[in-house]
Amino acid sequence: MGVKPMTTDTQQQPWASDATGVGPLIQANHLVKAFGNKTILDDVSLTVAEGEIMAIIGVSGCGKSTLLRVISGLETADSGEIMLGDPNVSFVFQYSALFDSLTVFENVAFSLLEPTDSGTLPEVLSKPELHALVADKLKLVGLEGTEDKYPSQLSGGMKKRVSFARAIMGNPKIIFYDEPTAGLDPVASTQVENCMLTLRDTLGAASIVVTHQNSTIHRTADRVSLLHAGKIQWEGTPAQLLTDNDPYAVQFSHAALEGPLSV
Amino acid sequence: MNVTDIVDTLVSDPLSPNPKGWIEPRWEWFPLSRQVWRGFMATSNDLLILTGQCLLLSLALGGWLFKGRLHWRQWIQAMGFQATDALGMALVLCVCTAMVIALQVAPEMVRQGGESYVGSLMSLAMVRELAPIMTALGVVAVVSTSYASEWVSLTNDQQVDALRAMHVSPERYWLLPWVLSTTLMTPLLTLIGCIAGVWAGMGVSQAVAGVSPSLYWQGLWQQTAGADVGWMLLKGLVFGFEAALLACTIGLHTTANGAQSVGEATTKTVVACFVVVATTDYLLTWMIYGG
Repeated sequence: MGVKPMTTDTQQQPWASDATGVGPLIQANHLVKAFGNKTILDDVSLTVAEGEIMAIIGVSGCGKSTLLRVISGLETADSGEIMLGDPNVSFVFQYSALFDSLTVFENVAFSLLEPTDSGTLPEVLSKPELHALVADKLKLVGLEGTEDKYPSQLSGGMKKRVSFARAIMGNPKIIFYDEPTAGLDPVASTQVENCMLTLRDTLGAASIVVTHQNSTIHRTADRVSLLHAGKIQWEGTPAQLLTDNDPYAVQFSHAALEGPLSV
Repeated sequence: MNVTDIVDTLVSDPLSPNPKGWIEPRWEWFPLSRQVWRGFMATSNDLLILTGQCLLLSLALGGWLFKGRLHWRQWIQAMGFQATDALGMALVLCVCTAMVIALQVAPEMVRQGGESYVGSLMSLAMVRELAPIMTALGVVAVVSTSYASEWVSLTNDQQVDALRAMHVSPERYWLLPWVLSTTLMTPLLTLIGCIAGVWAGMGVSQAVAGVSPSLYWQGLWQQTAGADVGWMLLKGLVFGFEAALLACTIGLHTTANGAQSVGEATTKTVVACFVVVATTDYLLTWMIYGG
């Protein structure tokens, strides 16, 4: 992960597994983040275990994406502590974020073609191996045969799936998804959700997904955290989101206008 | 009255709202309007910040270059972009400027019996001054605007974040090749523009005033010293570096929030580049020829 230098009171360290050998892969403690006078995250803590998908939900502008960017290291927290248990981290962006001067093949294979800042490549593959690997990832998202196209030749949904293929190229152990299914048709959305589940089950990846989409919450998430006013106001399973009497959960799950969630 | 009292007298005006907290004179002592003063302070403030940002970025890029981490493919692509897109603009500006000079000067020189000085004058004008400055303006128009707007668009589209997420510095991947290629290509464009300009000047001089080509070239070669060409290339190098560095710095520090930010970065880049290139041109000319 492209982790920026943290502020003096924020550290990022390898996670030390507990005595059982199975510890959370993602742990964030007491995160605080403000833009100017506006506090976006106010003492937020969470943990995500290996093989677990946590959904962060909340009304628009409540700081879900900021929380994801802070935990992934793309933004620096003002204070708090973040611990990631594996260096193999990936990010699926809200706007696809494909490099528009590169083909689909070059985008998907980017992490294996381009040396990092330290000059290293994760692994050196032969050309046929690389093509096979890219074809495999594209097939997983239902886009086989698009290797030579440029992002400008793809629809919004296709771009999103290519960005998903790029993100899973290195078989990451930690994945951050920022609205991975927003703007996709129901079939493409299901494809992406299936990919998320496959990665969880085959690699044991720990994931945080920021989403509004009910299908994504209920099909993929093991746990749901509801963020509002800078704090996690409710936490539970997707099933509990529908049944719990908590006013935040009730308002969100029923899309009610009345309640504590002010837009 | 000690120094503190003087400063207090100068700056204290409790009735005047001063939202930025800048030092302000007592308005009744100065004819300047409050708006002009605040505009001056804001511009100075921005200029100081921009200078610091440019310095930090050039240090960072120099670090990557020193470590041998230039992205060659991006660099070659950027060189190609300038060789194709900026060359045309540099040629148009240099050729038109030289033709205008010939049009204005050649008939008058011939009338006064100074036919042999037309080439000398063209050399003085183009080699020493106009080829570097006109090429720099062409580079700003084509290259700097493109880089500033492209960077903000890359940020808008989260491509910058995507690169960071893959442990690749966007500054190394995009900005270093852009700055290096512009710095190296601008002197070359200046040389080509200058050669095209003096040829065009000769054509116009002959057409409108009947200046003999042999006299024109004779005057030109007599006036042009090897050092002049060297200084011309140095000016091109400095202007190219400034044009690219300013574009990248302004792009980097523009808050990306849609189409408006792209326009804002582009406008700021053009203004800053014109001011800095013109100022540097005067300083360099003074240092080289002023003594």
